[in-house]
Amino acid sequence: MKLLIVCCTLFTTMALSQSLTIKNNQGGIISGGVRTTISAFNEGKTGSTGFGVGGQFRLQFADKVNSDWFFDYITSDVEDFANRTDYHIGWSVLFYPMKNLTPKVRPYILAGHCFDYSNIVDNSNRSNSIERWSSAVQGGIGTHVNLSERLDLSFVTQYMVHLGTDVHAEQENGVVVFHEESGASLEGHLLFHIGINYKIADLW
Amino acid sequence: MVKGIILSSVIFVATGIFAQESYIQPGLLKATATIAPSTMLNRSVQNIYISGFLEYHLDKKLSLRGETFVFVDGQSKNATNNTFVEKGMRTYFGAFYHFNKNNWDQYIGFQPGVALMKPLSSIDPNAPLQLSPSFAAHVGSTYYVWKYFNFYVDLAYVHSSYRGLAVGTQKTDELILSAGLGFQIQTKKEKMIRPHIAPNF
Repeated sequence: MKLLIVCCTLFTTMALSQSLTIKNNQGGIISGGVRTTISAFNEGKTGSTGFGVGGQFRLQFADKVNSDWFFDYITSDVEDFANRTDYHIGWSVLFYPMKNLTPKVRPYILAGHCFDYSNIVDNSNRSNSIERWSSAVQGGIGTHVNLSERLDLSFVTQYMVHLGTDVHAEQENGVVVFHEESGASLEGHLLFHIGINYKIADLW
Repeated sequence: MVKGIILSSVIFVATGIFAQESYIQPGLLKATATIAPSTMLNRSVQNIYISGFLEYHLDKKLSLRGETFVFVDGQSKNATNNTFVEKGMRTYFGAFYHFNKNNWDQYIGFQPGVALMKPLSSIDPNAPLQLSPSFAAHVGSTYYVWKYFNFYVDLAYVHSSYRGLAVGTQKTDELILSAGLGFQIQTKKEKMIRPHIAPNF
């Protein structure tokens, strides 16, 4: 068993440093990575800046079109009386407008969909909470900074609009009260991501 | 006679230095484990972690590194401050950029990750073990002394928060210092750079 683990580790590490062979065009390149997220503001007056971690894998469809499949785990404060946790799982399509297919810096625009779960908990009473499942759409801009043939840093700014009920917390006479209101609103998250991504293989 | 000895010594030392193999090559796999002290930036508390990482060089300048810090104990720097952490673990994965010259390597790195933490019951008796988003920013230096060993020093700034306490969110940012002996193997068969110093016959 130990020998198997050692062999797998060595095989994986050897594969990681091989140069990437492009078969036809950039379509088919699959990659994976991790990212850090800052949610610049959350819904409602009481929301504050959130901080999160996540991961993504990308599957490129064509030379100028890529797709990003992501998961984010974001936590934030609702003033000092409650805290909020958001889970995002979704996808975005990335479009590269530049003609050069292998630049050092490769900007893009993106748009996509997301499903999210939000949970707000009273800081002084953890049994007092509210949760919500909803969907969202997002759009934004970003850029890859290609550190090598396989590795890139990606910087993204996107706005995510939630479609579904609105949940928020307020403090009324010292008691934390949760409100759930139906109807979509244009309030959402302004998200900033810094990601590290590694191109694994060209599938076709 | 003296001149001859000095000249011989200089030539011997110089050839020794120039003949040294360059160990930083694509495919280099490094690992280490050490005791890492830290200082919490938002309270006068020092913590002790056991830390370890596994790092792989994609090329001479870029590497990927996964790292874990396991909390052992903490102590307050003065009597007016209490320690904060009862249980804790931090795990990160990210990329590093290296500025290497021969076998001496300076680096910077960025790693997204998570912090698993439970505060002391004196702060909140019902506080759960909480997983929170985190990141680590590294700066450090490594000197490769042989093909299997290196000496290193690493300073990491880690950012995280514990949310949901009755007293409000508590920042748990730390500066963690780790240093000591590291181990490495070369996973790719690649020619070591050994300058040719012997005359051709």
